Amino acid sequence: MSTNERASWIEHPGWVCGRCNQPLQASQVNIAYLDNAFPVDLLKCPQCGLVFIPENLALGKMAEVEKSLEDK
Amino acid sequence: MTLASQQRSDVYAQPVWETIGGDVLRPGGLALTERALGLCRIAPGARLLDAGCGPGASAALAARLGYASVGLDQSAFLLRQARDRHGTLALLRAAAERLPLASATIDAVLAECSLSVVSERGEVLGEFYRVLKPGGVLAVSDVYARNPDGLPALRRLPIDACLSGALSEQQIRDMLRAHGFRLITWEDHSETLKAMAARMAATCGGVAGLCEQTAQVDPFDLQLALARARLGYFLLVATKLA
Repeated sequence: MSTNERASWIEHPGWVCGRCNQPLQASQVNIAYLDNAFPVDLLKCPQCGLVFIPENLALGKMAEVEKSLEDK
Repeated sequence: MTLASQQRSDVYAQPVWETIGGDVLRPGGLALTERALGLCRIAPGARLLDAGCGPGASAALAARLGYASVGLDQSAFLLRQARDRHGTLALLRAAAERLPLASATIDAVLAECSLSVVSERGEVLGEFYRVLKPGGVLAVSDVYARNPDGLPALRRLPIDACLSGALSEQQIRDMLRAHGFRLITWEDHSETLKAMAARMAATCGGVAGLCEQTAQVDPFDLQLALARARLGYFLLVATKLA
C-alpha cells in the first residue's frame, strides 16, 4: 500500500524543519497512546525525525481519541 | 476463520495473521478454546464441529482431547494450512449456511471469532441448530460491543471485518433465543482482545493492519469508533432446546 493511498493528514506540503532547515516529507508515523498504536501519514523531518501535527488534528480528532481511550 | 459464502472478505486469509497470531487467528488462543471445551461438558468420543476452523488448531486440540472433531471452513487457503499442519484432521470445505451434515448428528459446535464475519448469522445459527442433537451444545467466542451506543459508528466504518460485525450482548442473547438455544454461560474475556491488540500494535500497525480497506479509513475515526463501542470479547455456551 503506497503512502498516497492511505487516509492522510498531510494538508500543507512546503513546511520546513526549524531545527534542520530540511523540507518535511510525507511519512508513515506510528502514533501510540496508552495501550494503542496505529499508523498515520504525517509530515516528518528526514533528518531529525520531528513530526508536524496540524493544529486542527492535535486539538480535534487526536484529542478526541485520547479522551475516548482514557474513558475505555 | 472463514465461515460462509457471503462472508466479510477473506478476513483471516491474509498474511498479517501469520505475523501476529501463528495458527490461532483470534484472541484468547488455545487456552480459551480449552476453557470453551471444558464448559461444553461433552463426553470423550463426542462429535464436535469446529465451524470456521481456519488453520485447524482448535479442531486439532479437540481431537487430541479425545473428541471426534471435524473442522469446517470456506477458505481453501486456510484449509490447506490445516491439512499441512494437522495431517489426520477431518476437514470439510463448505459454507456454514449449508452445512454438509445430517440433522441431529453433532454433539457440540464450536464457533470461534467466526460468527461476527458472516453476513447471514441467522441462517448460520439455524444450521447449527439443525445439525446439533437435542441437548447439544454451542460454544461461541467473538467480539462484542460493550457499549451498544457505539454500534452505529462501528457499522458506518467502510471495512469488512469482525470489528464492524460486532453486536451487543443483548443482541447476541436475543439472537440465540430466537434460534432455539438456551444460554448456559456468558463470560467476558475482553483482556484477551486487549492482549491481541497490543501484539498487533507491535507487529502490524494495530487493527489498521487487519484488512486492506482500513488503509482508506481515517485512522483517528477508526480508533474513535472502536473506543466508543468499547469493543470486548466474550465466550458463551448455549444448549439446543428440544
